[in-house]
Amino acid sequence: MSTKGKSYDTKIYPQSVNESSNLLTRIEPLLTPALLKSRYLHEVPRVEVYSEDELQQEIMMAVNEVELLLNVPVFSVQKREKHPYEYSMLNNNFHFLLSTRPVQSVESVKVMSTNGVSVYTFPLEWLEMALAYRGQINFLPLLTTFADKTPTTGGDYAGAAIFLQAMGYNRFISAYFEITYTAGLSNIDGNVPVVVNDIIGMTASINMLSTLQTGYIYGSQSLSQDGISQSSGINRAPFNERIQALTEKRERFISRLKMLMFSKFYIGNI
Amino acid sequence: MRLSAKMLKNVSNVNHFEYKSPAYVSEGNSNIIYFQIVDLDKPVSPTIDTGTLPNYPLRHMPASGSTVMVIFDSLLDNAQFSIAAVQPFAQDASIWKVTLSSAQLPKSGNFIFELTESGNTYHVVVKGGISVALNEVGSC
Repeated sequence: MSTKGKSYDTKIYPQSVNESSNLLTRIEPLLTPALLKSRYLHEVPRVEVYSEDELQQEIMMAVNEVELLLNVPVFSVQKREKHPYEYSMLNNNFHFLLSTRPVQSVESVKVMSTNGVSVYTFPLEWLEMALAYRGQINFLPLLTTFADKTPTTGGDYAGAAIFLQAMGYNRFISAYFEITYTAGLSNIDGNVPVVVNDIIGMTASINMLSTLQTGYIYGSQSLSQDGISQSSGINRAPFNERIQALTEKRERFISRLKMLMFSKFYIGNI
Repeated sequence: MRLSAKMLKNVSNVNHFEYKSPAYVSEGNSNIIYFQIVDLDKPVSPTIDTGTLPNYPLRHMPASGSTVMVIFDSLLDNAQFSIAAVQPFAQDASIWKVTLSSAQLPKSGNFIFELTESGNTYHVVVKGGISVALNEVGSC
């Protein structure tokens, strides 16, 4: 559990919004069983075999699946990760590219020894958070006053100076800075963008329709008037078209959202 | 014993209520949440397979003197809180009631209740038990 550190105080969704009206609903609570049925499974035969608890289970599984597909936490999480020191940082101020985006706030930046002792803690005032939504945190210690805004040394570590000297002698230290930060799709716990609920709903529906259609054995049956002959046609995948349409729509949404949340990576050889 | 809870709405007395999950809470209002403690290992009839999530598990009647503390979780320390639940009906010990003031706003999602019964404490997570309608819906 945590408290929030420094943020840029803009919204996560829509990205970098400073203020918005309530004229359009873009945020809502996480999908409920009733909403899942009414939005995505309206009039789907045999959907009533799912109990309310089972629908809740499907939603929970879909949220986890969506987190994996998006590579972004749907509900905010606090992360702690280590970043290297590079010689070139000295000439370009320091900046870090955090692994999970969008970043909402940074709680601490420290130099941490490998045995877990905090050696230096940097003042959060030095951090520029304007580009945090794309995971970029800059050290920019250009303040009007430096009073009380200096790094604090870990009191229980007598050899702290060696860490500063190491920056002069080494061109690269693999795990030097430890950054604790909060990232996720929504600044408000429990509420998510409507489009994210849409992706969750589509994911749950795809899974449910896929399960439901395994119960269909015959697509059509007919009996002759004299009752002597009958025929049955097999159609074991009556929801395939719907599943395909939902899958394609979901992929478009995921691709777009990953781009917006800077979770999409392009790899080239240039 | 595998305890869980079913959310109740339109509760007027011990015989008149509906099972409906989640419990809806709206920001800025005082809200009342009712839930019934159930045992997922016990079906309504011994001939029915309990399964993992039975439709209608039997209610769990805690022993006299039991207490329930409801914990509303959040990532942020200052947004977490807990409230002692009360039993609104002496005739049915499985039903519990939580009253939230207008300043107490839980987060949508799971909630936790801790049942202390006969010296034992049971920690139970109720999946998706709460849905909170916020006043600000334009951005997050």
